[in-house]
This record gives sequence, structure tokens and C-alpha cells, in this order.
Amino acid sequence: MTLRNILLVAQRDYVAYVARPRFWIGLLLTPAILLAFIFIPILIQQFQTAKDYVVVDHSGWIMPAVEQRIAASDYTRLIRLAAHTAPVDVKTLPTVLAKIKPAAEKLHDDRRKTLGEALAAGKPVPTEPDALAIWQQRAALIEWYRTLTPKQASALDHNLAIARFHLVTQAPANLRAAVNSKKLFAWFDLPTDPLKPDAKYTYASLNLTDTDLRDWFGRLVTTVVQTRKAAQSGLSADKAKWLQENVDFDSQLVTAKGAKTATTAEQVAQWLPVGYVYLLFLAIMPIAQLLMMSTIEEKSTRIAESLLSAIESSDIVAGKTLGVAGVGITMVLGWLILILGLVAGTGALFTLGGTVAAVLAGISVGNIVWFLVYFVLGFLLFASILGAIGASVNNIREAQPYVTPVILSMTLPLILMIPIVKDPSAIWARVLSYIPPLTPFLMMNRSAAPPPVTDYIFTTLLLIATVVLVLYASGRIFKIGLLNTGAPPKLRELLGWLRDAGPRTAAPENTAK
Amino acid sequence: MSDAITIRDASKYFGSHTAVNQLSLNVPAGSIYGFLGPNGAGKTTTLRMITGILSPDAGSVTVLGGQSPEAARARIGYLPEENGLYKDMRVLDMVSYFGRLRGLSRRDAQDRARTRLENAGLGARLKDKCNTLSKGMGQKAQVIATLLHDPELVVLDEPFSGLDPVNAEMVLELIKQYKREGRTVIFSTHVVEHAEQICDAVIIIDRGRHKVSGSLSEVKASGGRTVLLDYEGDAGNLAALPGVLNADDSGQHAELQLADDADAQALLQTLLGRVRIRRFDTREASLKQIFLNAVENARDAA
Repeated sequence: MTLRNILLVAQRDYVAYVARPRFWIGLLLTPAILLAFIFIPILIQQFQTAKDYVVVDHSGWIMPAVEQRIAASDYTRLIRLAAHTAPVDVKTLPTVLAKIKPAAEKLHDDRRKTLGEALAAGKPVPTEPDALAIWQQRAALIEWYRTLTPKQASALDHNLAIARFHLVTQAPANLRAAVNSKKLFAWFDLPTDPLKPDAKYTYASLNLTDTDLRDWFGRLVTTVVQTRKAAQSGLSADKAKWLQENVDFDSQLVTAKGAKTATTAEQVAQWLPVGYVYLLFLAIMPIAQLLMMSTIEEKSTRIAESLLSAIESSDIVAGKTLGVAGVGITMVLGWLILILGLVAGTGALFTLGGTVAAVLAGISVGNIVWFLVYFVLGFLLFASILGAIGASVNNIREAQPYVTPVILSMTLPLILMIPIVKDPSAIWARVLSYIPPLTPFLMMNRSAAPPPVTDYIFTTLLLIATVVLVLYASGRIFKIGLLNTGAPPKLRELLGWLRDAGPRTAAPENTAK
Repeated sequence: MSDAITIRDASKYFGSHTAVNQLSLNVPAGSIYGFLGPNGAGKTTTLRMITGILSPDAGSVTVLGGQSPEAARARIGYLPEENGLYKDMRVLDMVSYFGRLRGLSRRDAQDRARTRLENAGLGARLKDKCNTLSKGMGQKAQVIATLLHDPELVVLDEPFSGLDPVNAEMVLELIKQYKREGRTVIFSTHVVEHAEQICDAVIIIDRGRHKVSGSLSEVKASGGRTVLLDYEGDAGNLAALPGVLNADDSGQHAELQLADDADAQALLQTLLGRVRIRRFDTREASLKQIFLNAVENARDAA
């Protein structure tokens, strides 16, 4: 092998791909599609108009309590919104929220919720200075909140209850006609005596597949009715609330030094292995396929034979592999820069900065080293297999039957990704990580609960041995395949190429002229 | 004169198929050497062994003073049949790339490529993508790329394939120019007229086996006497005439191969009674006739 020739081939292939406009279009499209997946549902939610509903409350006491709970939830959200708004964006806040911002920032999140409930109920008056500072704005806050239209509310935070669901207080005379004419999304009919065992609650709408409104309102009514039932049983309101409280587990992260409460970032970091698997998949699959495409192109245009007459086939294979690896690295770096740029550009980085930094801090040096090792080995394994396939066929259509199992073996780790991250030490995960094509993905997938060192050593040794074997085999197939211009070889013929490629170089009969 | 290529009992097998069977050959340095044979005769396989793309399974191939083809890569220029171009590459870059693969420095390759493309009339297309070139222009660019490193041995596989007469003539002229420059040129073809026009020596192979070889005059002398006949009318089965071994009859023109003891005057008399004769020319056998005889005899023997 000659380094100069390898670099020449690598440089040509690299430039040939990177200089094409379609490379840059693809580079831009991939993160754009990824971001679209994330942001389109958010955008759709933002553009959704509030659903109008009417409540016919025969009980006379459910709705006031429900409305109070709605207001409590929205006040809590608004206090959080004021607290989290970036200093540069304060001018976009309504005056009343801008006024409570300094106090809201200092208030602990649990206290924000308590304060929201107090604001809605009108009691108790808080004693904590920051909460009290907000409480002093209560009249202005309530007045402003009452005049908010669903559209204005949505512009502030599309998750506000009044942004999603609009209670129509002036109910139309004919509810059925209003729903039929789509002036109303739905109506609720609450019973006269909700505490009776056979009390009948009704929800009526043209659309029974969209259950958001029904579920949300149902939860609120359930809580209110449960509270009433508790009171009727002699329990105080506080006791009823206490009974209804959800159990909230404190997630503790066990380390070598002991256990400590896990921060949000640390909990998110537990999912890092999923990111490793995705990144490996995104880095390996497209560029390994690129090698196959480029080989098919050179073969179909008959350039391959000119190359073979000029330099060793091993130089061609090594050069092409290096060239497309460069393309892949450029692609991944381009994505990272684009995504970071977009995130920074949209301001998301500012609010998420702390969490992102903490999550990134969860990436250990060991993980980075293993990621690089598995990237290199995984790339060599799949690229050499796909390169040999490319050399054996004349076009993409002929390559399909050979490529499908390779792609499947690469997508299998994506299917197993979630089960493995939840139970990285499961015996089946250990067994599967010893299968070389799965090793890079599954070992990174298992990194949250670090696998035993023996697993790292033996799976990697097995993978290296497989890579060496595959490189050797694909090198032989490559040289013979490039000269084969007839029908693609059958499996038996391929094995024959491997067996006879020594002193009696084998090739299909249609190669000879 | 020393030999540029020496092949000794070379054989090449593809599975159960024998592509080249115990072929021996000497190509004198500085000569134009033609490889003749029908499709599937083993011409390309032999050329691939000469260029080091394939290795013989038995026997030996040495080039340019006893070197192995692999070791002599930088001294060989090979233009494969249907050689393609990197479609998205610029013409100048593509040509200089192949020069660099053959050992030229970047600057030297660029300078040579520019000069030679300009001399070949492609000066205006240096920055154009290869896929914008016509077939003739593409062929020129490929030939320049193949020879940019000034190889001593030029190997051309079916260089006339698919070319119109103008471009075929251009390639013929190029081959003659290489010879004038002192290079050895070998090329394969199944169009024997091209070989007859420019070759110093030829080999005819069929089914991987050597049939006839030697200098053009030796090969032609080995074919015996023939009669070139231009005529009008219905000549009937010319091969059945007394003293005629074989006839290549295209209707108004025929080449008749004569037996050693054939009487040309008697044949003329016979023909005068059948058709109106415009030409009756006795001469040594044409290369085409020798080629057809060699191939047909092999088919008959099979």
C-alpha cells in the first residue's frame, strides 16, 4: 500500500462529494428535518385555537370550584413565565408580569404553586417576602387575567388553560345546534346531585376522537367532587387535599460515594446512551452507504479499471474509505454547528444553557473514547461490507437484496435502544452486544450502567477480529467485483471469490474476454 | 531489438472457465502490436495481465526489461475498453488526477494536462465538467489522461470501439505518433482492418489459445494466396470452385483463399463463364481472411 496513492484517492473522493451542491443541501436538510420533528408539533399547538365549551352545572357548586382551580393553575404558570423570561425579553412581558418578575425569580418552584392557589382562592396571604411582593399585585393580576382573550393567552404561553379551552359563559339557547354549526366544540352536563352513586355526567361533541378537553375537564371535576365527598365524610378541606396528594419520589442517583438527589440534568443525562446510539447510527449509516454508491459509480462508468491499472486495489479501498470517512466527519460537524447555531439563534440555548451544560457534563472521557473506538470500528465494518457490495453489483437496484440485511442489522439497535437504556445489564442485552455488527451500538447503549470491563474487552476484541476478517474479505471481493461486468454474483460465487482469490484469482466467466 | 513484453505459458482461469490457455508471446520494443480475436477470445484478460490488473494463474508475464507488470505500473499506460470519466470532475482536474496517480507531481501533472489538452483542441473545455464532452472529446481526454506520465508501454483495449470514422482515424494517428516517439503500443481489436493498417506484428487468439502470431508480413505469408474479386452477377457458391479453400463473399466483392496447387488462370476462366468480372487480383491472403480461417478452423475443430 502507498500512502500517497491512498491520500490522492481519499482527496478526490472527499472533494467530489463535498463540492456537490446536493451535499450541502442534504447537510442543511437533515437538521432541518430533525428540528421540524421537534418544532412542528409545538407550532401546531401554538396555532391551535382555544376550544369553546359550555358547562351546564345543575349542581351549582362544581363550576365555581373548577374555575378556581383553572385560575390557580394559570397563575402558577404565569409566575413561572415571569421568572423564566430572559432579561432581554422582559419588554415583551405584560406590565403586571414584568412587575412580579424579580420576586418570581427568587421564589422556589413549590412556593410558586402554593402562591398560584392562594391567588385564585384569595387566601391565605403569604408571609414569605417574595411571595408577598407578588401578592401585592394580586388585584392587578386578577383584573388583567380576566380580560385575557384565548389568543393573547396563547401568545404568552400556549399551555395556559384559558389558551387551550375557552369557557363560554353566555351559553347559546340550543346547544346541539351550536355544536352542529361548530360554533361550540362541546358541552358538559353536570348532575344536580354529583355525590349520588348513579350521578350522570355528560360530554357532548361532534368530535369524540379529540379527548383533550374531556380529559382535562374530567380531571378537574373529579378532584372537586372528591373534595366535596371528603368534606361530606367529615374531612376538612386540608385533609381532603392531603389525601389527594400524589406521591412524589425523590430520584436519587447512586454513585460510588453514596446516593444524592438527582438534578433534572442528571436525570436527562441517564438518557445519554440513546444519544450515543443515534449519533453512531447517523454518523455511520449515511457515509458507509456513500462508499457503496461511489464504488458503484466508478464501476458503472468503467473508471475502476483505469484506477486498478494505476494503483493497487488495496490503495483504492483504503483511499475511498478514508475519503468518505472525511465526508462523514464534515457532515456530522456541519450538523453540530448548524444545530448549535440554530439553538443559539432562537434563544433556546439561553434558557436551556444550564441544563444542556449539565447534561454535557455527564459525558465522561471514557464514554468519548469508547464512542470514537466504536465509531471507527463500526464505520470500518459497515463501510467495507457496503464497499464490497458496491464493487460486486452494477447498479443500486442490484445492490438492494445485499444491502437490506446490512441496513436491518444497523436499525435493530434503534429498536432495542429504549429497552436497553432501561435495563442495560439484562442478560439478553449482554448476549446481543457480543454480536459484532451490534457491538458498537449496544455497548454505547449500555454505558449508563457501565458494563463489566470484561464485556468491553471481549466484545471489542471480537469486533476487531471481525473487522480484520471483513476488511480482508472485502478487499478480495473489491478487486474481482470491480472487473465483473455481468450479472451480480450469487452467494455461492461470492464465497468462491473469497476461496479462490489467491493464486487462482476467481471471477465470473463473463469477466473474461 | 529487445522485447517490451514477454509472456511465457501464461494461463488464467475464472472458476471452471479458462480465459487464457498457455499463451506465449514476445512483443518487440518500439513496435505496434495488434491483439486480434473474436469476442471472448481472452484479449482483455491478456491485456489485464500485461498491465498488472490480473495475475496469471500459471506461467509468467514480464514487461519492459523483465519487470513484473505491478512493479512497472508507472511505465505503463492503459486505456480500458469503454473507459469512463468522472462525470462531475472538471476536464483538467480529471486528466491531471490520473497523471498524479501515475506518480507525477501536482504541478507537473497540471502543466502537462493543460498543454496536452490545449494541443488536442480541448483548451476551451479545461474548466468544463467531463459529462459535457462529446464521445470523441471524451476519448481524447481519456487518451491524454492515460499517457500523461509518458509511459514506455501503451496498452489500449478496443480503442476504436464505438468511434465514428473521424475519431477512429484520430486514434490511428495517435498510435502511429506513439511509435514515432519510441513507445511500444499494443492494442486489441476485432476490426482487423485497423490492425492491418498500422501494426508491425499481430497475434490472433481464440478461446484463450494462440492461433497465429508474428510480424504482419510473416502472418500474411502464412495465409497462402488469395484472389480479390470484384464482380457483377450471380457467382453461386464461390467456395465450391476448384482450387478454392475458402471464400469471404459479400455479393459484389469476394476474397477467395486458394489451395497451394490451385491454378489461378483456370479459376479466372471458370468465373468468366459465370459473372462479369471487374477485378481479378492474385495476392497474399488478407489479415481478415487469415483471422477468419484461424477462428473458423478452431470452431470446426471444436
